[in-house]
Amino acid sequence: MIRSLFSSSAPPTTEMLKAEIIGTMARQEPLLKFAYLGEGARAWNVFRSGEECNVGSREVDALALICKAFEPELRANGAGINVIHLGSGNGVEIPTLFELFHLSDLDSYTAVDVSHDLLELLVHDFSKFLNDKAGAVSFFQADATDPHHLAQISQQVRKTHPGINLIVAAGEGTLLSDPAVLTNIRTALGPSDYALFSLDGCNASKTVELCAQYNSDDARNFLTHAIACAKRVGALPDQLEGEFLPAVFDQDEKQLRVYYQPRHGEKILVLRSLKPQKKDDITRMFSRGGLVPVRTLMTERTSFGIICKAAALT
Amino acid sequence: MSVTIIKRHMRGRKKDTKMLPVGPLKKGQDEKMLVALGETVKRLRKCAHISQEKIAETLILHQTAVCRVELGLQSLQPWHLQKLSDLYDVRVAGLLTGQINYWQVAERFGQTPPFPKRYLEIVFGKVREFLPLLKFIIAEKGQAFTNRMLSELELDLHYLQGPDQPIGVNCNLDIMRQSIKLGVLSDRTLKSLVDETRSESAQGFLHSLYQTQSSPMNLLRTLILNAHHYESNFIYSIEDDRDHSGIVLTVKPAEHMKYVAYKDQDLGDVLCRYKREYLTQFPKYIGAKPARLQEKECHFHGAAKCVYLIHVA
Repeated sequence: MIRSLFSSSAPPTTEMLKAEIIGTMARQEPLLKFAYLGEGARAWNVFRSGEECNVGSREVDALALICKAFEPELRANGAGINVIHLGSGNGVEIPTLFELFHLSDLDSYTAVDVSHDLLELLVHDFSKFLNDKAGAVSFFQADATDPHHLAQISQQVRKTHPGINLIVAAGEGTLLSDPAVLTNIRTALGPSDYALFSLDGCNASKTVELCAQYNSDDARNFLTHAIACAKRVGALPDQLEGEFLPAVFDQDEKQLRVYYQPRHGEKILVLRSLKPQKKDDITRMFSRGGLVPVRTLMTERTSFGIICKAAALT
Repeated sequence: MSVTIIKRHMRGRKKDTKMLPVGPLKKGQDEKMLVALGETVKRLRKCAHISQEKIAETLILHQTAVCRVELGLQSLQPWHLQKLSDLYDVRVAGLLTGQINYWQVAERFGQTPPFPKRYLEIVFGKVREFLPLLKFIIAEKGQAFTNRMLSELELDLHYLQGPDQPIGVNCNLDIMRQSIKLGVLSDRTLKSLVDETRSESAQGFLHSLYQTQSSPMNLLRTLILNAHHYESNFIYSIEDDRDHSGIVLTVKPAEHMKYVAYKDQDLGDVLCRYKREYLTQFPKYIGAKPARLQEKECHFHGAAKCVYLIHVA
């Protein structure tokens, strides 16, 4: 847990953050989530809002397709939809989501992000929009890798707003590359709830081009914030010097990875992102976390739209 | 001139590489600002247990100059502020407004945060929770009274300016107890205290969300759904959303409150009365009439939780 704003959780301390970063490195999990804290959030906001940023541009096609195909089914019983937007970031996807799902005051919107700074930016930019368009709006700073957070949020939303919970993660390949996150999403889903994902995939012949995107100066400048955060809280030495290694693609796991190599010592995993190549990859990966894809669409540009239900517990 | 540049930094938008003048200062505001900045620089240094010599080295200044800065006799250049911001990991705006998370600074340098030991335990609170109360006391009784009151609790007002700074739950309760004891907090003054809470400084990042609500019912619902951002000691939930004019709200203590003495003779049911007043007056945020609140159960009178039926006009 980085920091939770749940009523029963203490605010974070530097010591807690340090312990968590050390634990993350020890488990060889990526440090990416720490890049979104503090200054990193502002850097991400600038990067993500920049005209040259193409992060998430392809996923939107897939998101539009899957929404169009799925919305009638979702609305069939006339219940409201509670969108739980995982990795809401600075809210740049909010207008698209509202438009695609025709969200109205029958529905609620809950933004969930690991970074409080990004939630602040979201509220700053979208307060009026959200108040005008949704029946209820709430914000949670929560960590999707925490085994309890998503389930608690889902339960809270269900309690306070009737309807179907729809957990949405648009373009969250980094988040979905973690099987624990898939399991946590599964746990958060009730019998009538759904999870909707859009993912940027990768054609088998284009992995080199894909890796090149992650080797750009802009991408590395942002990822540096993860290392800076670790140094700031004392999880890595202040004087640590090193460099990012070229991004690599793991064909077995369909994952892209970026490592930071300190001058001395072992390389540190900074980013890991799921990049499926075909529908079967998705079924295989998601079933590990207890999610059953009920509909999967793939665009010509190898991006995916996926609707999942929770697998029945045996 | 110096004030102009400082204000630019407070906005945190424009970069300015011009020098802050160290020459003659205008009487009044300029001097006050420099004194405040100097005190912040000194508090940060003390909090981190760093010597003036080390600061002088960081800022490439003579130690005497650092001493003069701390006394408010000398200004700093923008890049000095940036250096200090980097050193302590605080925002430049924080250096200028005094809104510093000293807890975090102390931890960063391996030091104990500058608070009495009893407030370093059960750290489930944030300064934001009692900032409106402090502002109210200052407004009612003045700065000197507030300082005296806090000094009895071994607290320094300057260390209680960063809204998101963590703090032990007992700090909030002790300030309340002290306020009751000194007659600042009473049934008569609760309403005025609650008025202090409907501001951007008290509500933080959700202020714009509240401000843009069109109906008092939606406003109350939004407050309750997002209460976890500000309230760490009690859990709010909507038990029943009866219709568009009423909500059944439950408020129950969080798990850690088992270890906190919050029901005693000094405090009485002030926490409960404060919450009732807060909720009742909240629609005033958007200029609406106060809500009508009916108490069904009270945690401070034996029930496991407080239950309110809230109606708006």
